[in-house]
Amino acid sequence: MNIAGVVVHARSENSSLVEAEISAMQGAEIHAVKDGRIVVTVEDDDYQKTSDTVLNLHQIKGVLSASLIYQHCEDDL
Amino acid sequence: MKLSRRAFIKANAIAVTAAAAGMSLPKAEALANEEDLDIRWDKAPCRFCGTGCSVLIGTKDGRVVATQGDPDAPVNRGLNCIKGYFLSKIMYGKDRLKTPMLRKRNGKYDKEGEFTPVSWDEAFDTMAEKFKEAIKKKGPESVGMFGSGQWTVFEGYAASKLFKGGFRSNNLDPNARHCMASAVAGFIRTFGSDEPMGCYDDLEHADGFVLWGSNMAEMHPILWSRLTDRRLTASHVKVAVLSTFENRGYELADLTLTFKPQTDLYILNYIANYIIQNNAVNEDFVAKHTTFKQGNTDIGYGLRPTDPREQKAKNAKSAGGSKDITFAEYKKFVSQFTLEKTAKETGVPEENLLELAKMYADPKRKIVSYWTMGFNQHTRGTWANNLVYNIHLLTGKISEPGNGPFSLTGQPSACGTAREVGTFAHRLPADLVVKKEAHRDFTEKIWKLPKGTIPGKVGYHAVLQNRMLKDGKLNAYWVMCNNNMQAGPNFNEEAYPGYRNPDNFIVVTDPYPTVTAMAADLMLPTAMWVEKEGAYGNAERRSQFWRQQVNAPGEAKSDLWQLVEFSKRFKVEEVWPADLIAQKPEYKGKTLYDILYANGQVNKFPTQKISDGAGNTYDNNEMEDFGFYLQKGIYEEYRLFGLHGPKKGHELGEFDDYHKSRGLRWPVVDGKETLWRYREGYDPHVAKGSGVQFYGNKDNRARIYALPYEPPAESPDKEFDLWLCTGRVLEHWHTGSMTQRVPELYRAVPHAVLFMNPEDAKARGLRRGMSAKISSRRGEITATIETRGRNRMPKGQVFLPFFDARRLANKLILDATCPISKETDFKKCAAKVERA
Repeated sequence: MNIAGVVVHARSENSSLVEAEISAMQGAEIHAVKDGRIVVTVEDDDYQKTSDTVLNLHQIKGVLSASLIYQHCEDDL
Repeated sequence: MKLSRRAFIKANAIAVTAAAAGMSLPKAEALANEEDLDIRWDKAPCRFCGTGCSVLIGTKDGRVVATQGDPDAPVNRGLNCIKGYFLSKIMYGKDRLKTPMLRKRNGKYDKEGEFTPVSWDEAFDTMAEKFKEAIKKKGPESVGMFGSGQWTVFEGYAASKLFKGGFRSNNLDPNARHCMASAVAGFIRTFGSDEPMGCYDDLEHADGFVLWGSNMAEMHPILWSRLTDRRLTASHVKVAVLSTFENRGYELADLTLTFKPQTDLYILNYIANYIIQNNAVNEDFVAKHTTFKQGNTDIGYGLRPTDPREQKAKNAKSAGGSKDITFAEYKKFVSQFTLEKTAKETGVPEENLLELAKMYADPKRKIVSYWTMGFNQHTRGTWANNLVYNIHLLTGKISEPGNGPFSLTGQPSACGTAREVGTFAHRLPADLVVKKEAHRDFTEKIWKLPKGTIPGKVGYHAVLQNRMLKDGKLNAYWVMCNNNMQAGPNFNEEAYPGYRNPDNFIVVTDPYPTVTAMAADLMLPTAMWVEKEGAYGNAERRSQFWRQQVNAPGEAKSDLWQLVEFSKRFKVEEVWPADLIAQKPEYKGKTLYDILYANGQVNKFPTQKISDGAGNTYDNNEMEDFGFYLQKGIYEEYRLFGLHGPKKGHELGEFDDYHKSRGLRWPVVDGKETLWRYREGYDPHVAKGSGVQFYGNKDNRARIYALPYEPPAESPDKEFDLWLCTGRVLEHWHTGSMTQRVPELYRAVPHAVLFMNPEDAKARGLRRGMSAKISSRRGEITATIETRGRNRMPKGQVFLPFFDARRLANKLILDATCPISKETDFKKCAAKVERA
């Protein structure tokens, strides 16, 4: 099991597009948005590993930066 | 049960992440507070770049299971970059070295033999024999070491002492030579003291940021995220990005300047000229705090003396020389750098140049300039550093919140270790240099060594070490905590023939079998990062300590243990002449270990229990092995250089204070750190009423240098018709020896691709995704063409990352250096691209 918390930065005018892309990603979930900062958690699911999803966050058009805040990895959870 | 634990961890992730973003989500916080996860948390600085983020390390059953950005850390305020995510995994690569490996044939050492596991005793016996043989035959100059900006402070200090004070060889240089040397030379030439005056707090105070070639978005993501936050929350803030190609930073930029390689020297001088022509000089500041100099020109390219380019250069032997000039003479000198000429030479539109110049000239706008390898890896790298200081000095925008030039660093302790403890071939701790007798005398006094122990001749620098290996002048050589065969330039012609020269014995200490380790004769396995107690110093002068969290695998032993343990194998009579020993008869029959480390200072602190405020306990393997608190003893001895040394302003705090804090920025006086050096009210060394004192120079003034444009060592021609630049990517750290072993990062970016302009590709019959051969006068490799993605290349230039061990990009690079700093220019040489 892997869980990660990520803060994503985007310009306000691009934020809704970025949010839509994040929401469409497997295992990613948005919890709050303010001043261009988007609070995201990412979890493993059947198709996609957390780490790959986190890496993909950087590749979304309009994302200025994606900073990892928290990551937890335990085998039998 | 399992489900609730998972839900709990997720709530924790949400709460922590929201807090770092400056938001509060009460529901998640309430849930997160309910349960204890049975994980031991402790702080450590990140293992990768020079930003110096603090990370909380979660350990369970002797293994690191979780990391999170440290919310109490002033550097990263709870944030981590993508590489930080995988920090815990870098220690668990499948091919970790676990035992020493010596090339053997028929049961004994043979340079052409196969790597065979051996004991530490056999490894050190063989190695000591080779070092003694070299010293006996050819003297101390035949031994040397290539060290690291990733060494802990203790390790760098132990190495400096062993080579300069023990073996009496200044042939010690760090890999930081490849990334920081021009910054060092620039600081020393302008300010007389190394390292930045400002700090990261400038990020929240500045009204403008100028990135000179630095791709901060990929290489310093956390500082970039702080800069992004400032830009998005203060609408008046402007961001200018300069580069030779479009990088990720362009997405945030308000102003971009894509210039032809090497022509940054024009832009820097043009801005100075604009400031003067438009009466934007801070006359009072300039009159009180600066003097002017004309630097020597036509200084060559740091190539071998036989190279025609060196023979032709008038001042190749006095590259750092200069003479005093007046402000009027300086004004006249820069007046040649007009807007029209600069636009023509750089390829940047006039309006963009003008807008940048106006940003700097506006007295109301506070500006921070950032740079890394674009300036430093430059055949005129020292000049580029001097020239950006000129701009900040002319406007007085320096040494105060939000105003200042700031040199970023690429390694976690390029500052704290490589620079501050004196691991360069010309340096001693705390800004002292081997060339000055007074500095050697002081060092010998602290180290309790007889006068004349430390040689006064500057040792071999990084590039010269490889040349001397090849020429058979450097014969016993220890490479530790770096991957220079992959990182360094031109290995086909210099490094590889040097390592495999039958006259030489090469030792490489590393956690993994890197390209460099595989080219050695002996590989030694090491403990990495939190497998040992350590200390790093980041780019803003912040020293940060950590405790040992877990044990290293197998027989791996830390670099510190190796350096100190190896010194036991040398009787002083085997390395010092009799007249030197005669000065200290009490040293007769002693080992270098007795003299350097068991000297009553380094072994002063007895073994103790290591625990944190919460009562958790930690191992310290070196303390167990040597029977005293080695790290503390080394640090407290090193601290004497800052407290009593001849160079002002290098005080460090006490050892125990650093374990309690999130680091302190030196100078640390009366337990208090310094945020802005040289400015009254912030820096305790600045005299009352003076406002500013650049006290690194005896007259308390900084130097403004008149330095022109000079062409690169090699430019594209008919055959090699493209500019080649090598560099880094977000996902991998430097040569990838750690990050390429993390499966997720490897999957994300498995190979280095060649970034190229689509029209350039088309003209060569190539398309995106096709395989191409890239060659220079020094070698060739193949890589896949990329015409889109994160880097957009202008016509005539290609970019190739150097992290990929199967595509050794830097072997294509010419080993031309800035002749002052001796740092290689990895950013421009001539290459061609063809269908593979």
